[in-house]
Amino acid sequence: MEVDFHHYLPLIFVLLLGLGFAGSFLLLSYTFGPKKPTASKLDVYECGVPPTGDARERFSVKFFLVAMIFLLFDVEVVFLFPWAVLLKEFKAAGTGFFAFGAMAVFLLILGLGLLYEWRRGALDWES
Amino acid sequence: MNGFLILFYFLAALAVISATGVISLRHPVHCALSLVVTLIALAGLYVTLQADFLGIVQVLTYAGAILVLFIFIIMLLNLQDDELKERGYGAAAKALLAAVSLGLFLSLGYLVTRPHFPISALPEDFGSIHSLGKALFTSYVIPFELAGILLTVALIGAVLLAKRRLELK
Amino acid sequence: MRLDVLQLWQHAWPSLTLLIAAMVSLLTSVFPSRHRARITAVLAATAFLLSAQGFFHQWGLGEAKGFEFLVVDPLSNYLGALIALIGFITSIAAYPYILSQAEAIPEFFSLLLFAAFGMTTMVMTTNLLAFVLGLEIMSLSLYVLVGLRRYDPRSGEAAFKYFLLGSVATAFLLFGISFFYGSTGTLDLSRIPELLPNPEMATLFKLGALLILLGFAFKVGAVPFHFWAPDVYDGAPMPVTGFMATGVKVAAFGALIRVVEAFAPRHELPLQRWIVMLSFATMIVGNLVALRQRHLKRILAYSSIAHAGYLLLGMATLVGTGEIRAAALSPILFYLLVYSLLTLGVFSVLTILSSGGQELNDLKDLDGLSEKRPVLSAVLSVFFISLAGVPPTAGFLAKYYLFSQAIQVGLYPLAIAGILASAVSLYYYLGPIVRMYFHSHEKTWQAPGVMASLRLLLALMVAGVFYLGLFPASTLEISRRTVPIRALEAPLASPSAKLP
Repeated sequence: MEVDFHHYLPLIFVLLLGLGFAGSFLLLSYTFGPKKPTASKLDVYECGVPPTGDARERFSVKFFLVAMIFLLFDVEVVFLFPWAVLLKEFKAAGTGFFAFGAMAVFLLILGLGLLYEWRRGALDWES
Repeated sequence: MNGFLILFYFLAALAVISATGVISLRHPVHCALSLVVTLIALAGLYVTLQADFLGIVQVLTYAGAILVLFIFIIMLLNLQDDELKERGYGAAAKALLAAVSLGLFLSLGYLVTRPHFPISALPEDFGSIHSLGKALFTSYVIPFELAGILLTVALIGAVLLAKRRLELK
Repeated sequence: MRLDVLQLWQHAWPSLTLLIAAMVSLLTSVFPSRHRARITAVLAATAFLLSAQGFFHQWGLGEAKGFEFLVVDPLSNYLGALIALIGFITSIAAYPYILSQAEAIPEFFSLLLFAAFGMTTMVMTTNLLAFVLGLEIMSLSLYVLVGLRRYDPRSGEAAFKYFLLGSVATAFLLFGISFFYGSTGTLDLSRIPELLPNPEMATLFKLGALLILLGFAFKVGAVPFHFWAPDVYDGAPMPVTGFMATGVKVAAFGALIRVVEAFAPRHELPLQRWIVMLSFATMIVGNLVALRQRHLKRILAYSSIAHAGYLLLGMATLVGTGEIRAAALSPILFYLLVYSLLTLGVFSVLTILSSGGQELNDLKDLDGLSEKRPVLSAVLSVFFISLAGVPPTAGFLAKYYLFSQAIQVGLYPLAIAGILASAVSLYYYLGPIVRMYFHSHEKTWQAPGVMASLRLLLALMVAGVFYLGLFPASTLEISRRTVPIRALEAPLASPSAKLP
């Protein structure tokens, strides 16, 4: 099977460029940067005051809820992409209304979920 | 051997090695980072298999959103170093488990690679956002709507189980 | 190849009714109202009843219609009606309990409807993609329902266990489906008969079929994949346990009928041997372990495992002939009906007893119940006795048809094991009855009085136990006329399924 390799060259090029830039800057600063460590330079920096407690604090479950909701709507957006790209084509083919209706039902279902969430206070930050 | 094949084997090896890291590293954050590598390698595999859009979605949702969720959970649990003891398996048990998984892996690999799958020419725009969208909004409409319902149920579940105080306005 | 929405509505409206009601009852949390609980409960019960009536009406038309991804045939309508009735009974029996035990009242009914919608989707498809989506809609709703008592750590633990193990089961299923797709090039089960066996793909195909079967075994709680059931049943809220014990079984076995129907003509699959082994282990282990349980819900969990074993025995007879036959199918469908009726009956009574604020748990909690609540005790006893398979109740006839079918196709060892196992089951079903009637009571009962609607429902269910036991002819005729359609009319969506 013939695969169009050139099609992906820009992608690989960008990846290599990104890795190369980041890597070379790290390498350059590591080799040429002056290193004169003192005790206070190596200390944990916390706005100038002496650090207290553990840096790894326990996170509230509230963050999890936000992340969860974000994830679900993120997946919804994934479905929106192909729809947005193709809607004109569907319209030209005479199936625009069907495609629109399909997405409308999908968004209605998820919109009701969002409404529920809002009224239940899941979008508020509990204090 | 063309460039694609080299890329494919490189990504496949990367996925397997980093997936081993997910289950064998000690600190959960390291496991999560290892998982990112696995997921990105899988995204690369999708691209080499001509499923471009799927590869991008993989990076967007898995490496982006789901991994953030995992990190939040790890921070929520906030395991301290002394809680992360070695699992109570002896060296012999570990070797046995490793052998069993390796055996399973190899036999599955053998099974999958043995038959000659019929190779037909791919359609022009295979794996693109175009062909995916066309399928999704013509013949795959019912699974598409079912997926929406599934997301909504997950939404309700997340609120019910994770919300500390339910309000009714 | 566009979906005809109007036709879809015409044929699938009973299922879509459940979906719409689920969304609407979710909306009741949006509008402020003092009667929120009552409105959602009435809405859910009405929707379930309407949907059951719709499924039954569709069944009566006897039509079979295939859409892409969905199938409406007598089998799906029979099972759909059963699922909707299970939802109806659950929503009525659960009402007082939910008022006293949970804060998330609209969500309870909404998730119940969502779960039932997922179940109907599972039985209304021959396509594995739509099946998995339906399964996950059902499962996600149930995980949350199990954890509905949000401040009870046991409820949370049960939800977590169910979620983890259920996900493993889905992973098995998906892994199997991917092998199935790889070896056949289609996700549609109804396509299998057209595909010629390909020796090169035989191992992959077999592996796929085996993994799919194991996924099912997990969901129905067949031994050795049953370990989740007792813990989950124990921790879940009482009405949710009843809903799970019946609804999930009906949906999973309904989908399994389609899988078995599709795989049965493929002689390279040792399908019957697999199912016979599963059934054997499930009947024996389920019944024997139930003898040692002290908790009511754990007894019922093992009882539901044992009944999954009997149903698997029915599945084995289905394969035996090489193709599906109404004669082998009707005992399974009848058994599903009777099992659901009896199990829901038991759980309805237990739900009433648990709605005073504390969950009924230990077998001791039933001590001397007959003095305080004589009617409820009698009703509970009828359901337990019938579950054990004592004539002249429905439970006896259901088992009789199932076992005699197994003997007819020559599965003697399995039938004998089943008969012996169900004889053993008499012991643990009689245990609670002995407790109620022959032990003195220590507990003071706080359970409130029973709603009139629930009283009527329980009376009807008890009547049903004897009606199905004494006059089964018309119901059997219904199950005999319930057959799945063989092939789809509509062209399929999956990429050109050609010979592997």
